Amino acid sequence: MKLLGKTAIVTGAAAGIGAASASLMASEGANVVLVDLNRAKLDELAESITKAGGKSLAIHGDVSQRDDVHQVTRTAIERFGRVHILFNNAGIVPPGKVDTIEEDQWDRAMVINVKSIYLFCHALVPHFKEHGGGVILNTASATALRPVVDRACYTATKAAVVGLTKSMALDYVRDNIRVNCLCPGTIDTPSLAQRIAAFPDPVEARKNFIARQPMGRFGTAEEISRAALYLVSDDAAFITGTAFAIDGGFSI
Amino acid sequence: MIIELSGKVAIVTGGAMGIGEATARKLASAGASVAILDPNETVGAKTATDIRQTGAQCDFFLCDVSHSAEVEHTISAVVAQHGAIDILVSNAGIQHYGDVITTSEEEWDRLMAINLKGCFLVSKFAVPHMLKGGGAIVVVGSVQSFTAIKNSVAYVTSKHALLGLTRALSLDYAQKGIRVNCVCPGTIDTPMLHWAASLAPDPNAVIQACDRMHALGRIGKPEEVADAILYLVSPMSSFITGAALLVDGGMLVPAGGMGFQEGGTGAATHK
Repeated sequence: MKLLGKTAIVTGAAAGIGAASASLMASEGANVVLVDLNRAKLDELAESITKAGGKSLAIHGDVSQRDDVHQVTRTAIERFGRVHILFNNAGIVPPGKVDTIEEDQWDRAMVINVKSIYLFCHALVPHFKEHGGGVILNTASATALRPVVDRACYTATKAAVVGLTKSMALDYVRDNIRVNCLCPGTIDTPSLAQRIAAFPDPVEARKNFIARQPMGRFGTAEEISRAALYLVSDDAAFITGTAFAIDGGFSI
Repeated sequence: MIIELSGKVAIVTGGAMGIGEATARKLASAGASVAILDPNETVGAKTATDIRQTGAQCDFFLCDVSHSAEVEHTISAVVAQHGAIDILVSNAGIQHYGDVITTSEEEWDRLMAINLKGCFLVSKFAVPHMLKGGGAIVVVGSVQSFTAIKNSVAYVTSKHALLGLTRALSLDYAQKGIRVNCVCPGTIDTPMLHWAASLAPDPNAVIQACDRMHALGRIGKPEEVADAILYLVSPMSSFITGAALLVDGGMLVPAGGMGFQEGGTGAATHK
């Protein structure tokens, strides 16, 4: 077990990459603190982790709210004594070009995709420093490396996540805090299904999405979760500040 | 190279001083009508007056790029006055020093609002006008669009995001006549740099250390960045879009930084 005795906070844990990663981390021995707005899905995941013999704590919370973030970190520390791993995975995918994106859409995506990471790290890095270190993993996107059309705001947020990752990696490189980010390509998750369903012809849209994949298929949440496990585990002890593309060749 | 921009209308945000001022001057001397947008009324108005005194066209617009209504109103005013927008230089930005612990939420929000959202807002309101006749946008990024320095978490995040935004913009309007590129300066001799140096006990030592960080052995001049911006807004760069042009005196070339030299300087072969 790679994470025995460790405690990990996973945001956006209810579905997709977050859920798969939380399950895998729990099966590797970690106490997993699950954070999401979707209470029903969160409880379902916590139950399945318990059934598999793992330990978890589901906290309903909004990562864009400072008070919620503090509540999560405080509760996690109270319950498990120490947090070792922070996986900032929560995010949304707003569509549009700058002339069609409304200001409130821009603001909302920036808060959920970027500022939430600042808030969590602002709250938790002092705890990491006090206890001799920690690991932070952020979910960026392959679009941070190679953008796609009609995702101006999303691309800006994910490029920001890469910058924030490198910056924190450097700031805490002597504090035994490693900071990395994942750059997933198009992954077969409920979030993707929602986006495809929003097209006038979802069947055609799905075909088009697959057609632009170099491997001819989407990635799976489980494939991303294995990269997440690697980067938060001691196997990756010499890795910090990296933007790890896991995209089936999409960003080549 | 001779760049001719007569008849073009250019907006420069943060045009009162530094790189923005140098860019406004060069755009104006190339024949463009320049609109300087800046929240500093005293300096901005003086810069515009100076430029007008050279016989060029330049107007100052008081504008905080982080305020949507101000940006919308200002862009409308520029179009009302000049009839079009051909060139947008999104340059306005502030610096803040701090890591993720010492940077307060208010400081984070303010920097992101000016450096990143400001670029979104001026693009959002200028692009519909630029779509009519085509045009060019240059976003001022930084070497920190690629790398990080310590204790600058909000700034580094914003500059990475600006490169992402540049690439996304370039793709969204590539077939609609608008090119979008990013210039990424190293350390430049601007009021912002002198402010940063003034935070240290020995400001001169900071500037000298900055000189040494660049392969060319010196910091850059605002005019050198302005030259790169002029190239990127001119027809000379008509096949360039979505690019990031480092104007950094070779700062990002050496692995490990300029102070690092493995293996000495003579010839040697590992046997």
